Amino acid sequence: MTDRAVAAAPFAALSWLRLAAVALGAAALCLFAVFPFYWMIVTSIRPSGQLFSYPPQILPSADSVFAAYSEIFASSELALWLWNSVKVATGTATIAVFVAALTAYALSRFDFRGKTLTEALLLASQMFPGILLALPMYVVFKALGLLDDLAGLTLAYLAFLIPVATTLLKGFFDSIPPALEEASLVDGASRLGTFFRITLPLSLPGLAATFLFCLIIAWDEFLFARMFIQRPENWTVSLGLSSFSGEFVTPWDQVMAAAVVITLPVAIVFLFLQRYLVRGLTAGGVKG
Amino acid sequence: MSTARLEQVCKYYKDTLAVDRVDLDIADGSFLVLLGPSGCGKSTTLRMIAGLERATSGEIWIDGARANHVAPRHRDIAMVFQNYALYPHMSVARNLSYSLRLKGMPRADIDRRVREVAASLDIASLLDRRPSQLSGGQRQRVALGRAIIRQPKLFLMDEPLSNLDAKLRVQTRAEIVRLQRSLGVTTVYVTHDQTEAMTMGSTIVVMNGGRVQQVGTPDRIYRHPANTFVAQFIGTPPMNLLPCRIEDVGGVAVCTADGLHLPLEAAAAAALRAGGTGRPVLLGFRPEDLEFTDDAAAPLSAAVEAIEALGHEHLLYMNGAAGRFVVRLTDPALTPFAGAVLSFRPRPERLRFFDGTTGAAIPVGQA
Repeated sequence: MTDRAVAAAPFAALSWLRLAAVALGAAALCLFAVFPFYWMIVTSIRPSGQLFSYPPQILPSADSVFAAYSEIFASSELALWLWNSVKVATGTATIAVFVAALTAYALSRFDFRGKTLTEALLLASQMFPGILLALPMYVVFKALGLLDDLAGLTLAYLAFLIPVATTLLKGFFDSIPPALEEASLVDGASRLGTFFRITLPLSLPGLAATFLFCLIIAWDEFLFARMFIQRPENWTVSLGLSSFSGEFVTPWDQVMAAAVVITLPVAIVFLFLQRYLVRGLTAGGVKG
Repeated sequence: MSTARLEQVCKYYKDTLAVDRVDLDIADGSFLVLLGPSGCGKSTTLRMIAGLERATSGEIWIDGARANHVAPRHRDIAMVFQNYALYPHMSVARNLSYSLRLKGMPRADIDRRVREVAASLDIASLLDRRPSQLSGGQRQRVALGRAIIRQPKLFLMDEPLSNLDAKLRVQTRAEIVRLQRSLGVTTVYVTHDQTEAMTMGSTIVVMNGGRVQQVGTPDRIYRHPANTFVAQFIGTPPMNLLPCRIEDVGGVAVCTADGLHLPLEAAAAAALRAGGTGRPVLLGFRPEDLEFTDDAAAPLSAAVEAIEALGHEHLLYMNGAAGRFVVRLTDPALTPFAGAVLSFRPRPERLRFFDGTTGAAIPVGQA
């Protein structure tokens, strides 16, 4: 039997009724996932006067305008906050993936003293809720002069994300057959050369997933940003977004417009990286 | 022109002894097969020669230079892995050229070598494909190509045929032997399949429990197994072993047990007497080393328990007072039926004797 036939077999076994049920369930889940985004976009392009009309309008009316978008860029520092978030998020994700890749590789491939302890500590560090560490970290960061500093914020994110990224990547490295690296070592490559020529290219899906994970966390993060950053010119997008909510009035069209602008960069990165996420790069190298 | 030598090599994993004081002399141009059941240490031994495992103690020499601490990439060896270990993200051509690119060989030379090797292995049409687009047999050829493109000092092969189907395995077996002869590269080949070992190796090293049991030519190992393990590991079906004693009956040494009375020839008698009469020994003979006889006083008789008809031969599973044994019958005219009682006379020059307690072969002089 070919691979294709094996893959098709479970579907052939399903009756059309079960197929229909599965399709319906999938559609419902899609709706559940997509509707908030839809509502966010629709609200952002609707004049604020229509926001609370009843019954709610599912489709935007003809006189919709992009007023909210020009308004938020004109009246706030949104562009600057976006730039701050780009710096923090890409910096965090890049450094986290780089450090985690080397750490995870060592944990996956080598036996060394303290390996079990390292793995236990990596896991333990993920068990602390962020709020528990926020205060002690605030004190330390204050002493080090890292408060109100985007580099400091990046450092704080790295402290959380490197252990998570290491755990994720170790799983990916574990799934790469050691024989591939041994073949490369025998073929004349050094350990490091093998890592860069064989292991890293094969773990692109894992690296992409880990990079995205770190990027999204650092992009969205609010608690530490709120505590560690004070001046508005150092705000990240999550702080900026919260600043739209006023004491007396919340301009929902502007909040939603800002939310769209903030979501877009991550969505674009995701679209770009998703081909790496789904591609099974190790297929066919070794007999399974 | 390459040799390799292992001296008292041991390998421990934590507290488990995987390879126990192995001595090997791998002659230039030889095809040495490490043969043994799974877990016998043969793969570990190969991996120590490759440098993928470090020997716990002992010395490994390649071409007269001590190699214990030489990195795999500096040993100038090529290895074929059981699961092929092709680089999945590279085309066949790049898989083949990987080692040459690492060496920094000029591009034109690399292209020429890749074409040569691809042509010799009949994979020239596959050069642009990825490993995932190849059949098992094609992957196997690419893996071989990746090894021979190097022109290395040593070929190391770790059960390279075990993932192929039976027909392809026989073809590839012949092809590997042909390649090895034409290239003349010293080869160490690991397998648990005795047919591969017998047909391919110029020297066979039988291993068990981390220890070398016997080193010899295929014929030598088949005819003169060093102990009962080798006797029963080599051969399908394995060598028959019947427990018996050596007794002195009226000045003639006789190998005797219930249902067995076998007067010995002078050479065997002398060797066995030297160890003292009355002690337990194992009488060994191959299934094809028995002759039928009508003699009422035949040394060995038993009833046919089962018959396996294989077309070119019949295997008779016999059960008698002396124990169970197997007889190979190559004459299709003789087809006994189950339950028949048959008498046999072993061919004296083919008899082997093993110590009843240690299992070691008792040398009889005709070796």
